[in-house]
Amino acid sequence: MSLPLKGIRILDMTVVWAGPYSTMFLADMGAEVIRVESINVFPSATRGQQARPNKEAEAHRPTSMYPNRDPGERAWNRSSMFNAHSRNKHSITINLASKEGKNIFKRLVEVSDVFIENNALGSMERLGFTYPTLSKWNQQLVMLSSTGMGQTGPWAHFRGFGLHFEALYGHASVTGYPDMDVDGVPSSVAADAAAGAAIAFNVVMGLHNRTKTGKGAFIDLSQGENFVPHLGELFMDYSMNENVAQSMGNRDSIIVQGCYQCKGDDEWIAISLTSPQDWKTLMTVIGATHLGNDPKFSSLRSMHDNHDEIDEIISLWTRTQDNLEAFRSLQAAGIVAGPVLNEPLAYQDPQLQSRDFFTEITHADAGTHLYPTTAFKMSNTPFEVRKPPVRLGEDNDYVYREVLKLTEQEYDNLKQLGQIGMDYEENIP
Amino acid sequence: MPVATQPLSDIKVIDLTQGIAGPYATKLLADYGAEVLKIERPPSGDPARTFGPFPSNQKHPEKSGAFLLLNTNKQSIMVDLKRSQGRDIVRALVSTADLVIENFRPGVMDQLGLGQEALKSINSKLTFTSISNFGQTGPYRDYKASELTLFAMGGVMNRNGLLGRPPLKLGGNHVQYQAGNIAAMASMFSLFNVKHQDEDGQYIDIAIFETQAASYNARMPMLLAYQYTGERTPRTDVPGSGFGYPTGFYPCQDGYVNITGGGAFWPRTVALLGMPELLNDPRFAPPMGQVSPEGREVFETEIWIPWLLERTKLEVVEQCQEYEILSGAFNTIDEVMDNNPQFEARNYWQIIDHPEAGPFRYPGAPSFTSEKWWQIRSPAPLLGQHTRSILSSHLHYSDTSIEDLVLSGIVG
Repeated sequence: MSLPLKGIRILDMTVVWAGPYSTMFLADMGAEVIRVESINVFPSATRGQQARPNKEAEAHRPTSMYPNRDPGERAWNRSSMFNAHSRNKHSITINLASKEGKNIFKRLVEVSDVFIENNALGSMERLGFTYPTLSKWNQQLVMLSSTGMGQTGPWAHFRGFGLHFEALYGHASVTGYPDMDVDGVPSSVAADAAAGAAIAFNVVMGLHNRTKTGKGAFIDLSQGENFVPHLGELFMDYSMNENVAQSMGNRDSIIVQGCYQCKGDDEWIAISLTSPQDWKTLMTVIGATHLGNDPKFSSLRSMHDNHDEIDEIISLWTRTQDNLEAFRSLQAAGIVAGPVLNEPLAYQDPQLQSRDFFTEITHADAGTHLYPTTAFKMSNTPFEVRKPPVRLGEDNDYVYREVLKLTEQEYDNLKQLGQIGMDYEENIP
Repeated sequence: MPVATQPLSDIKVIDLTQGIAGPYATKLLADYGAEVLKIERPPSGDPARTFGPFPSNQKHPEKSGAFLLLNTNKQSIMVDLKRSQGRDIVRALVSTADLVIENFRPGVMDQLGLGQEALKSINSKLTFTSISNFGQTGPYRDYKASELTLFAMGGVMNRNGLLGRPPLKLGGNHVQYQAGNIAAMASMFSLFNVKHQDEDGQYIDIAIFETQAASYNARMPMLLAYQYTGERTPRTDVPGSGFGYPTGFYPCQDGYVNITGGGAFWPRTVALLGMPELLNDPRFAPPMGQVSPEGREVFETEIWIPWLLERTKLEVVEQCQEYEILSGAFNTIDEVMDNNPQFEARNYWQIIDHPEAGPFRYPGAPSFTSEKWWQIRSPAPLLGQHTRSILSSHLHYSDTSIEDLVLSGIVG
């Protein structure tokens, strides 16, 4: 058992999804991640949408992030969008707008290795926490700021979630039903996931670099610039041929594929055919060998020419099938197939179960549930929950007394100023 | 050669990957300075050389856009791993390497005698990263997969698209790129562990399936939300729909915009419209007005969309941003490349000249540092371009022994 980032302290001022996803990985690796939060300000879309959501409205939403749709006493500790990433992290509260808060932050920077934030442009400047200042406090500090569009340039101030920026950098234009306009375009936040991994990668690269140069660094990570390579072939096609890619729905330019309805309530299976031989095999599995031998489907090109008919033939069969059974029989025959795993199916999935993908966590305010773990397995660093998803301010005592070694008088002073606690100020909705 | 100012200039990678996911991982490492030796198989090398797109749609193994993008800054050595002398070359290279990364089918590296145990006995500090569809263990280990099926199984396809129509994949190959992104990150964790804690190299098992199941492309929070509520995520769910409305895509004068301006942002939307009387209008106001389907219908058709239709997408977004309303224009690929003052101001696109394909604009750096950590030192390699130089400079093979290997078809 080894924790690669043991001894590394990270100040985490991240919000929403991309930033917190990065510090999830870093905390899992053993870094001491301290979320610098405030009971005086509620950052929207991080610990839920509101500090004190209306219980009745919560019951009427299309989806709810709270256990039993109940925001409960401390809704900010009960949101699945927050709790899914926040194991192994620490949380303190401080009012960074105050003189005392700024002093505390300075002292934190002096004893930390990394500072990560993904707030709207200008937030750090207003607080006085820009890199030139922080690097004076700690020359070895690795600081990373991430926004949708980066720290410079005419659109740097644009605010948005991943889904707004994905529209802006072209992802939405190549996703959706080809016969429809934007109505069917899913609100993807793939760029948040991409940025999360990239932030963690860049930060550890910065720490590695620090040992060679003796100096920290400032890293400006634009979610857009980080995500564009994920659409690389499409941009290369425009670059080379001025060909403007459009959405192909579930289809592919080389292989023949689709997503087909099965028995049950909105249950589906995805199937990809990589050759005419796959088509023959599939037709044997479904008992339609004569179609397998039809010259209409004797090459990938002719299969593409008859794609609609192929989809129709496959659908007629899948509608009578259970998607998990069809998946197993097609894989047994060597066909690329995969069921659309909605959440209950994912929790029952034998592969995820055999690899211990889910783990039970008991959380003081949210109860006991199975949580998804992580995206990779390391031989000497098995996934471990050392600390349940972090509640607001639950590590104040530890950080102020043991990390910063405040005197009791200094700590009491912060408490009297109303900066220390586990509850947002009562006037915050 | 790696530039000393690049953070990974001291990292040496033996790259046995092909396609998209693995090469994207090693591209990230190479672009930040690592020395990446890409082992290609004879006679045709990485299948990405056939993926395209090709200039003028003319197929050519040195001109595939996917390959050219995914293999910048790497060196290509063509080695036949089916021959024992070919495997000896890989072992010799591994003895001084920091990282081996591969994406063969599970079990293939072991069959070649190049599995984790075998290579660890040569070099205990070696990090060994495997990328596969479902991982090295478990009942699906040998199952086949595609971009589509991996997203269907691992990702949030269950909530993408309209009810009554098929769930939708995402455009492009994000699932594979993201697996590469995760592989680079996880490899970096182990490299740090070795370099700075003096630990042995780790074995890293990346299942593309799990990179999606543990993705914050909404999947992790949605899996947990199911545990919390017992409810499946409905199709067409919009992340952030807890914000009420306006939310999602809307038409405007010259296209579409995506806007999140409800819930806590409702006062900003009211200010944007210059209609203060709406702030507490019970039809629309939070909390209940914001979850009312009728309120939404009336607001969108009578107020919101008419306002949008009088403006271009850039005007809408600029005005929304002025009021700190989250928003983005719906741009097509050409607009992103040609009509984008932001990427232009940041010199994002890189013109890379390739000896066979010629100069084209490529996507650039995923992060920016003033010390230029990310650099293009060389275009994607020609097949086997560096075979001789690697054998002579890294392994000190004599010219005659290299000639023998070439003649016997072990290298090329």
